[in-house]
Amino acid sequence: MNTSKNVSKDIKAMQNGDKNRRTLIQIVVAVVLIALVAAIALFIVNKDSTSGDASSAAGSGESTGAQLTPTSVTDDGAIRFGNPDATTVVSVVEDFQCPACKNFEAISGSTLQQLADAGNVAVDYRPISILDRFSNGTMYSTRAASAAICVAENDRDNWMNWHTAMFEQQPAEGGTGLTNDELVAIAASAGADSPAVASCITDGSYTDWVTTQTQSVLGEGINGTPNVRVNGTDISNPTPENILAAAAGN
Amino acid sequence: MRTRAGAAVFTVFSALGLLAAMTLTIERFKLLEDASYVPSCSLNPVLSCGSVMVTKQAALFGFPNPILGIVAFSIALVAGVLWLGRVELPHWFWLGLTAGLLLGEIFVHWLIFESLYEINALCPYCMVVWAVTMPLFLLALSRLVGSGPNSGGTVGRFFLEWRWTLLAVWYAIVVALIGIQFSDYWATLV
Repeated sequence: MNTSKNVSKDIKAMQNGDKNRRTLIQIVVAVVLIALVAAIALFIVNKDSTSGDASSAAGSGESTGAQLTPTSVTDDGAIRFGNPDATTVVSVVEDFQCPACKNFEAISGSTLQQLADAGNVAVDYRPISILDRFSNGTMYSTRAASAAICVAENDRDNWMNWHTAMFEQQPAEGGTGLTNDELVAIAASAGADSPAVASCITDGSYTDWVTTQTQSVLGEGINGTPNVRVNGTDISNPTPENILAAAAGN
Repeated sequence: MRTRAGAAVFTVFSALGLLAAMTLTIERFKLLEDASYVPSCSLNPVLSCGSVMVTKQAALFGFPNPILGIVAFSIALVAGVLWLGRVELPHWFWLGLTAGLLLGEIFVHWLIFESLYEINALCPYCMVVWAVTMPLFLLALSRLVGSGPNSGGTVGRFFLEWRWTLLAVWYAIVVALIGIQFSDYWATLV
């Protein structure tokens, strides 16, 4: 009686031990395979980022020149038009690759221009780069935003024209963006045809600044583009009427 | 003991899937009523339901996909509750449920591919559906194999033994693909 109980106990213990060992093997195999997947993923990410840089440099004839910090922007990195000391500030956060921004410009761009021209409102443009992944490693969003600063620094008077032209010629998402040469040509066609603008765009002089600026804008809780604010308050549906109403209310 | 745990997990995951499908459907209605509505799961440019919900892939059969999810996860939930209550369901019921979940699993993989490589955005509630469909399918298949006339043979036993390892590796692969595809965006968050 006693012995048979002990025997069955032993068998049970052995079965349990066997089961535990198999579970352990399964866990070890899972961990090894997961580590393998993670290692492959890290390898691909690192390879992508280096080859992406190389291809954008080669594809656009980029000679990654010295990185500059813009001097004509506001403290929060905006290109400001209209009355710089106005108490009402309309700010627009945009990505040049963003189709919704293109629509927004087509519908409300002239309204913002009017507000700036009227002279009692400040209109802030804050270009950022959140859509670089849509241009196959050519970093179009970053290069376009850098070009925006190039034109603002060197040829402010033609910036609005340039900005309109940029959205009119927006490249398709998932393509290869526009080359630096094409960006230079757009700037020239908008009147910003100085050699300083051209070399600034070709060198990508403000790309590092754009990357930092993008992080700080995202840190403000702005999660999508276009983001339109009047004195810091979001306008969720930025039609010309809503923008004018919000600007008049301040 | 093991099947009880399986039944409980099956029930909970079905309920999660149902919840996600219902939320997606309700958010779609709100978006239709007001085009400027920002869905509760639109967190940033990558994690965004709003931009995913309006794509043609989000309504493959001409109506929003989550409506299918509401029906399918309801059935799975009832099956889970019956399983949990030790109600014996016929073999053919599990066969049908497993077949249905296999179709769901194919659909989910297509959606994962489209989301990552065509839409270029992730929708958090949709990802809940991706995450629960795989274990639901594996559990239903295990139940089917386990209750089969010959207990599934060698292949069946191998599958039963290694299913959770397979699931863990599948999760790792999907997470890795997401990490690779959106790596430049994740890099801006660091």
